[in-house]
Amino acid sequence: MIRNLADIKMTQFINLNLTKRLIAFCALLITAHVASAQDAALDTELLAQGEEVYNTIAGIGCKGCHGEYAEGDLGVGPFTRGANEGMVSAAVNGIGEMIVVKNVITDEQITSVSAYLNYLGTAQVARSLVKRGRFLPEVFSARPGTRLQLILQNGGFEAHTFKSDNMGIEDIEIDARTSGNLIWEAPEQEGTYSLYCTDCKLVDQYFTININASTPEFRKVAPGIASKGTQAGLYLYEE
Amino acid sequence: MLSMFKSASHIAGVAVVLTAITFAGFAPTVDAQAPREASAKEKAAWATEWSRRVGVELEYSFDSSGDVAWDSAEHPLVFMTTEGPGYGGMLGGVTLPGFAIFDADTRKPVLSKDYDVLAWGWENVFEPHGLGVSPDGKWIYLPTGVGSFMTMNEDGVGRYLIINAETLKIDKVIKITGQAHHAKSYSTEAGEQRVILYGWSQPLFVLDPDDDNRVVGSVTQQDQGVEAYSYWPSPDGKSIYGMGRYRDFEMRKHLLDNPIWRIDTETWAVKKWIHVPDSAPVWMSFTSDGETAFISGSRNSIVMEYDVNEEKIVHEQRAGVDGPYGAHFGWDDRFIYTIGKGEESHNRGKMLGMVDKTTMAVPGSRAMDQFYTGCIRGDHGTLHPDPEANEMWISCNASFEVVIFDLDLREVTDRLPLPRGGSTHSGAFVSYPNGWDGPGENVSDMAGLHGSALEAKRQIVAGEYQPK
Repeated sequence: MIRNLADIKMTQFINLNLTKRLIAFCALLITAHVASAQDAALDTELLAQGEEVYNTIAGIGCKGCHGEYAEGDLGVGPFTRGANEGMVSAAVNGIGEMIVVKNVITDEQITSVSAYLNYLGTAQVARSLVKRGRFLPEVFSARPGTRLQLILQNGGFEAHTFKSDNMGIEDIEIDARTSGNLIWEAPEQEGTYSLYCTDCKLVDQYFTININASTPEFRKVAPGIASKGTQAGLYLYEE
Repeated sequence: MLSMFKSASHIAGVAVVLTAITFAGFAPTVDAQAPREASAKEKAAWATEWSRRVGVELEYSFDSSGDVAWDSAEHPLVFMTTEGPGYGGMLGGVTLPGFAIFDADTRKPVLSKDYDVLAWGWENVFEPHGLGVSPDGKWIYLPTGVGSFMTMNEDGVGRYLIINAETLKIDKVIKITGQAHHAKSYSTEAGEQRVILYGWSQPLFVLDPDDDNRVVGSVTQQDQGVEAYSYWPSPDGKSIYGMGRYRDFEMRKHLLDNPIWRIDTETWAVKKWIHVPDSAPVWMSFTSDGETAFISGSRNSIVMEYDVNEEKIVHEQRAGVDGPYGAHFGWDDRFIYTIGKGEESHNRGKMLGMVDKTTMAVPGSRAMDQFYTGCIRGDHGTLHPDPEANEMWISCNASFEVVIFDLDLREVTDRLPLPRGGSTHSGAFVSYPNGWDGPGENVSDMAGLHGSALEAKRQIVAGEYQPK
């Protein structure tokens, strides 16, 4: 079942990836989740615009340097999850290497991509590479109530389908050699949840997510506000 | 809930396997075949002009038929590697030459097997090195011998055990002039099966598994003009390359270079000697089109690019590790992974280097990276034959394990201890899609990918791969 952001928002189960890589997921909440006031105010249309900018601006997108999920994992641009508009604006205008973006990006696009990055900063990344059905890593732990961005990388040469029997996730199809992601709000209760591949070579392989109160708390990235015009390279956070 | 049940059954399944392993204890299934020296008539019938000219002879001959020793239908893709007493393996209680078979899907050991050669009167056992398997998966070639590294160049000490892969019984024992080192397979252009064998002080000889494993080709020391350390077949089966190495370590220390040479597999004549800028070339890996090969130079810790058509070294690059042994491609024909054994240096290497072949021609360029594996004295890497796995299984002589290095994550993702704690070298992935009811296929060994796996790689490189 494909949902758009507006639908998803209604369930507080948000799929940020609007590309065709992530085909479908079921947005059924497993346990009650009390949305924060901040979540209730999410502008999903703005987030979708921001994701589009992140993936496409200047031909290569922000992801071309900062990585597909803004983790700085390409070794070119740094980790930017949680960046706000002030930081993005300062970087675009102050970092020489970003001139390719500066030349084409609009103020509206800075606003939307900042919203997108800021939202990513509220989610803890739970990533696994899937090869022949085997998950690497096999286990991820998080605290109850944590917002997780589940990223599954399909290491294979054909599309594979994934599902979970206890996370409300069905038939996520991910193309060969690409990744798919979704936002999953961990329940407030401790428990063990798992995803698996339905059509891979190896069976009985799981990506297990342990929701456990003893897990170190995920600290949201840059939750504070840095004012517009912050000097490039200087990041000031206010709690 | 379903997944919980699945998890529970998974755990229960693992528990059953672990229990079975615990009770079985992977006690060596020692073969007690009584030696029966081949008669003069049998020896003469097996010998060929190619075996005689390099001093190779049939020593023992057995009837290797009998009961099936393991279920290849249950394990249609396996990894076979040696398990022996060398490099501290004896401390684990391993005293005999043998091998282990792992299921290459589940990564669990299937069996461990050794052969009581001491009962034949051998005084001691030389560590089994690079195991080989015939292209059809029917025969296993286990290099071993009498003696130790102190006596490895004595005449007539080395042996190859030729083992029936289905019954695991020895079929033949081949006696050689030096000490046995490696076995690897290739196929001729006409599709004939061939197995390459050689050792220290034992130059190349090549068997035909379809003709009672008789010798169908060989080269002498005189043919080569220098002793060889290893030999490597080209993907088209038309050539085999010898890597020169002087026997004396002190001599190698002061040499700057050495030859390699190309042997024609039709005539078994040495056709060309090629200068290489390293006194201890070890390993040779070809691109899937066979146009280029990369050679590890362990003395200078380099990788050399060899142009097959020009017949010369065209570039060299630091290997990213000290004393590289294996030098392997993944599935992209671009990155070369060098196994830092510490060959010619410290012999306690635990690192894996990475070289980008596309930058080798760039002046001033260097190796890309290195990774810690903890695989002590790692030597051979073998590429898993499923491209989706994209992983290399590395044998570790002195940490008694096979480590799995993921070429996507570029980190070790699993470690497989040898079932009985013995030392291990090399390996081969062999598929048995129809169990024992049909031919198997050696899909990946020391000589790289073979058959269907090599064809898959060619399609991947061409961007035309369609998974089956």
